[in-house]
Amino acid sequence: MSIYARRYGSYDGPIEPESSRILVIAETEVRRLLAMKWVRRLILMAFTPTVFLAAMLYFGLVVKKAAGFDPFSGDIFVYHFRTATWFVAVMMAAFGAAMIAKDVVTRAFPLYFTRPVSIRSYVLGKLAAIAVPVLGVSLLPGVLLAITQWALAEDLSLLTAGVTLAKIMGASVVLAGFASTVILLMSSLGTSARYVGVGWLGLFLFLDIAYGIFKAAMGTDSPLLDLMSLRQQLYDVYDLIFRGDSDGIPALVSLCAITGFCAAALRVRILAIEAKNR
Amino acid sequence: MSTVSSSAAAVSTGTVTLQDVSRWYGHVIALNNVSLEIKPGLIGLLGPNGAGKTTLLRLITGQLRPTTGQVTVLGESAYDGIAYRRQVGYCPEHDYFYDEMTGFDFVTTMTALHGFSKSEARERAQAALEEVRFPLAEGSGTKPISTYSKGMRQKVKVAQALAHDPKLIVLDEPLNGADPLSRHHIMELCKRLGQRGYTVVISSHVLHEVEAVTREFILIDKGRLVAEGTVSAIRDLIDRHPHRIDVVASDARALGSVLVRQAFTASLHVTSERQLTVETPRPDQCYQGLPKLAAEAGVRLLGVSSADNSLEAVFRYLTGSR
Repeated sequence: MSIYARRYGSYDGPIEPESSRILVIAETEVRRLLAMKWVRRLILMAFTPTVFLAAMLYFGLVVKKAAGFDPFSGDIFVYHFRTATWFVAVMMAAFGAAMIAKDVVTRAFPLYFTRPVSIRSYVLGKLAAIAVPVLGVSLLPGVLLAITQWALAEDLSLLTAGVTLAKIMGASVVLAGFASTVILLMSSLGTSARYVGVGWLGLFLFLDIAYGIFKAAMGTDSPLLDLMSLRQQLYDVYDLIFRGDSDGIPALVSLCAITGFCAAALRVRILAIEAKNR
Repeated sequence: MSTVSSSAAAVSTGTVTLQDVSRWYGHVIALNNVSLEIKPGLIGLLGPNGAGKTTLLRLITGQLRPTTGQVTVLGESAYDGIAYRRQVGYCPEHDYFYDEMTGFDFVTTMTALHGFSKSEARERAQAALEEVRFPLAEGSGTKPISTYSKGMRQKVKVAQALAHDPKLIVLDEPLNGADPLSRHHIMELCKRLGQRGYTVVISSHVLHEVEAVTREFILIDKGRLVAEGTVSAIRDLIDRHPHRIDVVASDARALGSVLVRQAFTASLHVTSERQLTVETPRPDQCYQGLPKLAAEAGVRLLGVSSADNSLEAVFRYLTGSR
């Protein structure tokens, strides 16, 4: 008996709006990623510094005056995001690079574009899929640290805790938005996920090394020079958010510009891939 | 949320129209000025490798934009807008899979991309996989696709094309790699869907299997539409090509002496005492007249057949691949 005769002779149920495909794509990709043991291990590893930082918070209360360390300042979150940045750089190379490159090489676009799925939903779904693990190693441990800080404090108000949470969210969004957009653009430009991953890490490290050499050679600490390094730009933004260091403003503007440019280029690239297939 | 209804009445309106459609890949023409209309039912799309079958199917499913001409699917342009895709089920020739996913998850995800809720998508995925006789009960649905045989992968591909109840079902070589039983199931399923009023376009090079389930065909070769319609209608068009009819009778010579005097007989060969072959440009007249002529000659007619009625013969003739 036909499936239609048996169950689906007449379907009058609701159909989700087109934007729901973003969630379907993101969920599918995240489940695929989490099904891989090494991805789960990498994410778990990213929590190791958080445990260390939480311990620092606790012991910081004891040694606070002696070491001059204030466990209730934003420093702890700056350290957290700095370590998270390195984990994110590795994660982007490990699985972010394959996100579109794999679809290009396996010619999987018909799976999506013979269905009522727009290019916008496809790109946003993939972006969300990368952003989820990034937030998993930045936002989630950050929030856990904030809770630990709040639990250990004697007079930390809810308002202060709320502001801290907002800052953590802001830093996480900058990190996730920047990293996922750049890696997705790079992924769309290549067909080999391995080369894309190596390219991303190479770019990240090369710019950082070049920045270090220039900084040493010029003997200056200019925030504009910091724009040479993606890593340093992120560090400057963390300083801006958690320490109020205004030197991070050029870095924030730069990261927003890079993210915006990559998003626009990504859209053009996907349209070009689809047009090529057409 | 919008609501759709796929009642049987709505199903019967599904058609595809191609108007003067050409498609170039650089300097190579893949489809050359093709005009045709596909109506509800099961239609076989046939042609040798490189004929333009896949290009035609990709145009119908909106993956390709024609260089010139217009493709209309269910009343909408096939490459503007995405809403009509809700009514299209596409089974690609090549395996576009995420190998680490299970077959069940894959079909569920592909169904959810049509806008079904999770639970509805799961139900539909299960029903579609059962329909194509995918061994769900043996636990294959929970194993990664990378462990599947070619036949199982084919079933998953067909299931994902059917699960969302599309009005237009486009299957590109769905029998490739499938075992004989699976091929039979898939073809029977296509036949049933065609009979229920769905528009099912099936591309295949296994002519006899397609011929067993439908009499409607589109034949393309070198990017050109060679013929469309039923085998007999196509055969009738080939009036310059004499139609061979093999006749078995109690006395072939006696029957031959009567047949040779008929206007519809182009040539006649007596191959044995009981067998003869008539070549005729008007097979209908020959078929109608044979019993009467046999009776006049006092000969018992034992059998009439024609190899030229087979799709393969028509195809060979039309594409010149004798």
